[in-house]
Amino acid sequence: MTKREQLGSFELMVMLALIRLGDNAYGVPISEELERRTGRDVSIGSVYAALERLEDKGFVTSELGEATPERGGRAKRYFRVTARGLKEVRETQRALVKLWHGLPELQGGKA
Amino acid sequence: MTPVQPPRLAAWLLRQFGSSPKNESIIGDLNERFRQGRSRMWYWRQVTIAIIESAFTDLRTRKLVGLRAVVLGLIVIHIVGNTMFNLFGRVLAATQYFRLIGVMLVPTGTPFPVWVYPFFAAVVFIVGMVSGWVVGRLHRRHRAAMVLLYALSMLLYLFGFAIVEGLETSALSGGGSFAFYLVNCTVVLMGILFGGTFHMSRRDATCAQNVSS
Repeated sequence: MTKREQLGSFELMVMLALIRLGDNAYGVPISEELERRTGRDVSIGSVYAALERLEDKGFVTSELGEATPERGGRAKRYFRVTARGLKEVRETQRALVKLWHGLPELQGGKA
Repeated sequence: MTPVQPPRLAAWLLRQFGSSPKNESIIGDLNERFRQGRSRMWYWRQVTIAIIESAFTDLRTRKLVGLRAVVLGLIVIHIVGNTMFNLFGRVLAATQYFRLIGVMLVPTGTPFPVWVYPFFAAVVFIVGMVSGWVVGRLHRRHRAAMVLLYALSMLLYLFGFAIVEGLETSALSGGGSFAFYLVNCTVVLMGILFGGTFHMSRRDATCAQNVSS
């Protein structure tokens, strides 16, 4: 079996947030999206650390955007999922669905 | 009304000790959320997490480089420490407050006058600064993570030394004083962090920003 780069659970959440946000995916909306969907506090530093790992794996690319006054003149950095990243998300989803299937403890949404 | 400014010191610390090549973008994001109503406490917490997370991300795939940085730092601090205390130790040993046993500077037990404290602290600071500078200089691409790792290992070393060897055997304790030891440990760590970022010139910062863009 060939070794391939895999997604950690937080990395997968960040990838899903990137896909949802589309062209507006930079640090602030990504962390807000994760907070809204998971109901947990998400630090911007953790998001960037995950994004850098994803970039190293070739699942994400980034480019500098416009600077705004409320950012102290600093440019936004927009992130985008690559074709390879999208393929990895699909494969992870497939694997998770297979693992999920047929577990009576997890049926019906009750612990 | 003047808008509330984000904490500048926190942003500066992130720029100095954050290992991410995207530090400027992170600061921009933090500023944007701060101006949306987040507190200064929130900003400081975010900066602390960003520094720790980025150091871990940098060290995760460079464990051997990290080990090399720590070993190098410990060797340098011993060489520089011995040299400095040989030079300045003779000055201190000429007083009634210290005596030299071999290369060891040992307090005689006579209470120190006030001038000894800043003199001693300055020597300790320089020793820490030189070792931090060497570690930072020889690991320019991963400077922040390596300097932080070295400072952390030095903290553990000093803590372990105090437990295993006892305060009395360390010149940093001034004859067993815990407060003196604590102050000098803090000074040496400050020296390491200062020395590690000393050569972080504007050119380096620009290079880092260009690499990330």
